[in-house]
Amino acid sequence: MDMKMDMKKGRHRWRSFAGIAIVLSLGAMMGQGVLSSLNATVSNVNPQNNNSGTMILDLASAGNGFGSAINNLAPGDVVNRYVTLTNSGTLDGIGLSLKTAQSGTQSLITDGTGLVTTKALRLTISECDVAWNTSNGQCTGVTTTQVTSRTIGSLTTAAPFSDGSMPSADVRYLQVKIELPNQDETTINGNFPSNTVQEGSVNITYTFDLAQRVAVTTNS
Amino acid sequence: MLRGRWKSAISRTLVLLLSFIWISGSSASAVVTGRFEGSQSIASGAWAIVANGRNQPVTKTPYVLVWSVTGGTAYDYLQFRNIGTIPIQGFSVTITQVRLTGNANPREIFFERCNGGSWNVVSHTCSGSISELGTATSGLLTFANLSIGVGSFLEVRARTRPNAQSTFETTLETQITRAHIRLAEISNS
Repeated sequence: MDMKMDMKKGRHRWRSFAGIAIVLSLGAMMGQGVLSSLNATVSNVNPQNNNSGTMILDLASAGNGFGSAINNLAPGDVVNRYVTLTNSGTLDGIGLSLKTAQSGTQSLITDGTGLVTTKALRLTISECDVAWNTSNGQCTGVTTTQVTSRTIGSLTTAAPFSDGSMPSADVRYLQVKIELPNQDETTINGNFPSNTVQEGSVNITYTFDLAQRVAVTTNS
Repeated sequence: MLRGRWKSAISRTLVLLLSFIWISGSSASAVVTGRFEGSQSIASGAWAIVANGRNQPVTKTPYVLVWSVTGGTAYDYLQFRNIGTIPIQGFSVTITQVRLTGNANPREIFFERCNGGSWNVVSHTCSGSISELGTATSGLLTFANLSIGVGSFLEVRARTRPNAQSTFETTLETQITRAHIRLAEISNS
């Protein structure tokens, strides 16, 4: 009996508590004016303007750029193409990198291994601090190697530029050097050796990435 | 009953709260990236030459000279055709002579071209001037200082002296290496 009574009392106490809570909540919702007597409010006359920055990386051809195909490469040939990268966003960028996606003849993408000694296409990126002369490849300013020579296939992993910072509005004049390393093959009766680098083709998509600068906290 | 509902409500609220915190955290740590893509197509060239009979279709097999050496000086007219994509400045042939009858040694083979004219394959004469490209009995013979454009051919006469004692099957196998095409080039554009 006593236990039942205690349980009932407990329920009554719980219900009372819940009731009070509901009334207080409703009161708070219906208006603070009911509960508080005075309020002071102030706001800025001119709304604060908050803008987020942008990250825009533009690429333009200087000369033929990437748009023009490279044909009939012989071992030892070097083809230089020129592109201009611009940070057209409002944020400074860091960690400029290049990676490629490629499809086509494997011997032009990766070096042979073991008994296969073929050498694939190499890519090197150099920068001139002023625009390149795209006709003769001359830089009248300072030249810096940004991505050292490496096979096209290795660029599926992004290669960072040696200087990867690009402040807003920064312009980078790049020479993209494509080279088929010198190597020999003997064609017998018109038949190429296996794993030949001859009569191959590769389609390359170059992707330049630029990350935003490190986030900052300012006080002013 | 009531406690169960409260527990359930609290659990749901906690899940929602944690999800919100997780989403907020993710967006706060995301980095804005600028990106640009460009595509390029690259193709390599080829150096290849074949020997085939005069005005015969191209076959990528060794060329067998058709001649009879027992009846006097023998001739065979053939073409070396550039089937690659790069002009050719020279090439080599491997000559193999297999004796079919008798026991005599094979004779020398003379490879000749008709400059400024054409061969008469019946009278075995040249309407221009004849120059010798090379001579060998067997093994590797290299022809240098030539210029055979892509898709073009060099017409050659193979000649050998009579051999009354033996007959031979003579086979030519063409070979060309990197050394027989233009030097490497650097281009800017």
